[in-house]
Amino acid sequence: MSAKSIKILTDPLSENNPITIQILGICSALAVTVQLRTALVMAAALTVVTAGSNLIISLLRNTIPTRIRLIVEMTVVSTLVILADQFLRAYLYDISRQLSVFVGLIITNCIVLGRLEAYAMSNPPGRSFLDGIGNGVGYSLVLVAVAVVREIFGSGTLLGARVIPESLYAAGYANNGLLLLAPGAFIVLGLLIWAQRTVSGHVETD
Amino acid sequence: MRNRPVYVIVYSITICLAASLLLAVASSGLRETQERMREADRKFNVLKAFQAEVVTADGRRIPTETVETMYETHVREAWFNADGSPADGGLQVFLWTDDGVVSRYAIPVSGQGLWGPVYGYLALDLELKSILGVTFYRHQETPGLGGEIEKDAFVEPFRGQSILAADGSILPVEVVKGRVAERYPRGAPWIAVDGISGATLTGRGVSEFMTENLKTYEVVFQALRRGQP
Repeated sequence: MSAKSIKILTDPLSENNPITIQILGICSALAVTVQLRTALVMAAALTVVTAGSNLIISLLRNTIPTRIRLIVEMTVVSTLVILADQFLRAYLYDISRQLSVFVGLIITNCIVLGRLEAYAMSNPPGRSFLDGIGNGVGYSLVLVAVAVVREIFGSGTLLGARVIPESLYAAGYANNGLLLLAPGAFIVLGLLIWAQRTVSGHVETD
Repeated sequence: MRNRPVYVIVYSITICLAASLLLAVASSGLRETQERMREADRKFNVLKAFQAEVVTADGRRIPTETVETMYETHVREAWFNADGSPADGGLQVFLWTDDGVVSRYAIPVSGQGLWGPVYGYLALDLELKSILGVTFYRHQETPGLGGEIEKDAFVEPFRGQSILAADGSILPVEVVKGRVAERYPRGAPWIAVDGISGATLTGRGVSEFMTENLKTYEVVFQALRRGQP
């Protein structure tokens, strides 16, 4: 793979992370990160949808009439989202019930439409696909980071398995209930954005 | 060329047809698997109402095959007419058996929630008097509000409550607006559980249809009790 392609894949992981730098897709980041399991499924679904729609729209980019551009983009994304939802219902039924509306809400996730407009509409399919994967993985990293913190300190488990030993509970340790709620998620996310921007040296240029 | 009206129209139609075709194919291809999952989930909920061991120690569901085997082994389905006589259809009753001996009963409960039908199961002990468990597994209520009826926290308080009044008549069900302890400081006069804040209308629907379902089965329960050795 060329250096340029690698950069497309790796930029969104840190330098241009969709959540921490572009500040997109926050809502679902809060909702599905109570447990690591649901966060992983959501992350996978979003990556598939972003990469897939980036690819398709990039292939169609020179044929789409200007006046229906956004509608076509939304049609493609909705179709992929419905497909993702149908697959989850068939093969991961109880996770799909836990995710309930949030898979359907991927269509509203700014990352998807954001990348279509910013990249897929003006770049070749191969690169657009990589951009979709990169942004999907960047989103996944943030989701996993937040979910790990929330599940360990909010429920004492990770992927359902107990990680905080019973002895600590007996000694007086208690799960942090705030982390199971949206405000707790906001706080974790804010701290993560702060940490990531410090490490990558990002400065807001307005 | 691509902004000419005819092109725009043809393009739109093509995109719509392509998307619809893709979704139709996927939907029919996946239908069978989805049905099987839904049916397994239904059985899971019957077992859960019966308080069978359907969840592992760390909160995970047992695998689908185990659910199906457990259901096959322990659960029998029977149908009754409204007057309590056995029938081939009509009012469905689930019987939990251990080595062929019946020890628990369950009935399907369903009715109108706020946004659509709600489906669940209610399990009773051998005397058809004390509630063993309630589950709600299919509904269209708002997630986080009415949708909370499927959570353990909502259905747990049903356990242990008696469905019969002192005179043997069936009691109504009330999802209290607020907490039962505050509404009825001296104890509820009928089957009552705490309501879900923000889900009053769902709660009202649940109260109404559960009361009605129990009333419908009253005669069937009497027949079942009479028929016991």
